[in-house]
Amino acid sequence: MKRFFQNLAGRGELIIPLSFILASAYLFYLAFEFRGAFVMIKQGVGPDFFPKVFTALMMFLGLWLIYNAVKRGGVSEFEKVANPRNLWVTIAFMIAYAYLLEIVGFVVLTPIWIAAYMLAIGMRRWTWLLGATVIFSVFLILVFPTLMLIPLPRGVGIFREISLLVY
Amino acid sequence: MDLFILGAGELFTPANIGWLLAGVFIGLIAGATPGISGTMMVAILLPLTFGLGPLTALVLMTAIYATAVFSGSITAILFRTPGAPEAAATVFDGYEMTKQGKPHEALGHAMFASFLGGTFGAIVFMLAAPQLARVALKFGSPEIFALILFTMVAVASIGGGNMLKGLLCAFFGLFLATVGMDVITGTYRYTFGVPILAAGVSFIPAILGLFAVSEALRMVQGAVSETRAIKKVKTVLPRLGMMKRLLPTYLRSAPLGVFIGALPGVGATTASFVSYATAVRFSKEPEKFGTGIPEGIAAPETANNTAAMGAMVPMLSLGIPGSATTAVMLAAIILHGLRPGPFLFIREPGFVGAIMLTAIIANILIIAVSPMFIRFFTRVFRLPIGVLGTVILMLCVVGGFAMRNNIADVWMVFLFGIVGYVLERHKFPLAPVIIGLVLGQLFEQEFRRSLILAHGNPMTFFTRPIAASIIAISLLTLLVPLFRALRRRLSISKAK
Repeated sequence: MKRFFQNLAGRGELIIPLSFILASAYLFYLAFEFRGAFVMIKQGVGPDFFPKVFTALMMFLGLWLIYNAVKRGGVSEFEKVANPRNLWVTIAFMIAYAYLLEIVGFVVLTPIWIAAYMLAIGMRRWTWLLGATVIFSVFLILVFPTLMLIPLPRGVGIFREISLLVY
Repeated sequence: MDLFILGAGELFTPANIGWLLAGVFIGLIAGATPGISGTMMVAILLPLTFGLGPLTALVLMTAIYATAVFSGSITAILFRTPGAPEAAATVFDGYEMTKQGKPHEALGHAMFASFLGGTFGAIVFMLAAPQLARVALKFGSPEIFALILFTMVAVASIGGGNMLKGLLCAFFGLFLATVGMDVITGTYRYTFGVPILAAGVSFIPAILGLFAVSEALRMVQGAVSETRAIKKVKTVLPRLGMMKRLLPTYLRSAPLGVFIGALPGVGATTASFVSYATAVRFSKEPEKFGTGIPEGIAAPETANNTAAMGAMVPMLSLGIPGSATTAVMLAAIILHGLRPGPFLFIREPGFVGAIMLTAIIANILIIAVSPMFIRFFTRVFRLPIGVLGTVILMLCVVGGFAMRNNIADVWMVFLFGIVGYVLERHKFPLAPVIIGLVLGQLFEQEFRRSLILAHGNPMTFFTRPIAASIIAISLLTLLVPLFRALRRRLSISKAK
């Protein structure tokens, strides 16, 4: 599996332009549905003009990049991922945070997330873990929802009750 | 000069000076915190200013505005997380300098350029506000379109040594700017039934994701318990020799910034990108931009502060805001019973003079107060990498959410973070994506508006001298490197 991802990453010079080409082709096709008022279009260009131009140019440049990559052998030079585990852990934690934010709420989720995330990426000194969690959570909660009145999600059920005690 | 004397007479009261200092302090903190922009801070404080007199209210707001534009660069340079959109262009070279262990130097350049730019803008504002506003209004849609075209081409051409990748990324950014409701016809484009997409892809989550989250993803792959090495320096200000080297950049960026700022609806973010692109275009070593050179910081930082001051020109002299923050300030002026426009200069010269003087003092205070802030922020930089990565991620979440109070923007931050990480690993430059996204809407609008005004005649871009000249320079910027590469290839094949 690891080798599969490494091979895939090594082919980035081909895969990234190819992804651009495929996505652009689909988006170019969708642009045919954009129609504006006739008068506006008659005296200029319609809402479909720029999406078509940009997607077409992305396809063209993608093809050019693939041509260049194939000529060079297709494998790109890039630095290897030093610690792929932490990369995947971070992505997983990001997805979990965005998903749970509306359910658990900012006040409850943030300190738990900070502590759990730092543990998961390998922070072991408890002084840092505790200090960063407390100081940073207090700072975020004080500044954003309390002082700046930004309506960060309060969560649902019991979490909402807890959040309401703070802001 | 009369304005200056009358303004001084009105401004120098203990209450006004106190609010000015408070404004500088609030502006520095707000600008340096992702998620809190100068505009947001001014808007939040608007109801609180009802209890103050009109001048005191405007003194507070002007001080916040002037300093917040600068302090956005602090987090942009240290954490690759622009505190304000105006500082997005500062990331390109500022963060590279930080990676080289020179954050103090980078911050010093930003501070000095901001001070110079802001003071220059405020002085121009004082001497020639009505005249500048009239000239700016003559700069129509074709000229703005040409200016943005030039910026796109110049920045894509630096593309990390690969112009094709740079161009692809620029078109990707421009494409992202087409998502949402078309402002001219009201047609929904690429919204896929997602309500938030009707308002388009906001560039704040995109900037935070592409720059900051992607960097956090890279950071946590290293030794998370270690701290970064920072070179020790005695002063944060650039030395005299360096100032001499940067003089052409300052001289180019300051007038450019003040003029772009004076254009209604364009603003300091655009000014910083245009200025960066101009610095690239006029540099003898354009390939060095994006690798951590002082010119790459001085150009956007001079321009964004001058533009912020320039945006106040049409606000006071014509009653037309030049940026989002000045729109809020305009509302404050009206709510306090004053009427902006040419008559304000005749009826209330002391008021106008005091605002202009506040802008100058606030910019001078950037030099006086900022070193203390910079010292504090560089200490934050000494946190272990794991903590720093966590701090960046959390600030991105809050910063992304705060712009539209929508959870979809948090998803957007993370999505752009992953996209940015993948693109950068394969040497696709991120700067053109951001520039395309930030300027894309204006690019499309001004192009289409120009055509509508010219009854569909595309010659409108070539019959107006300013627009035609800028388009010609853009085409040269694009074609000359391609031509050179072709000639090099031909000479190699001939030699073989």
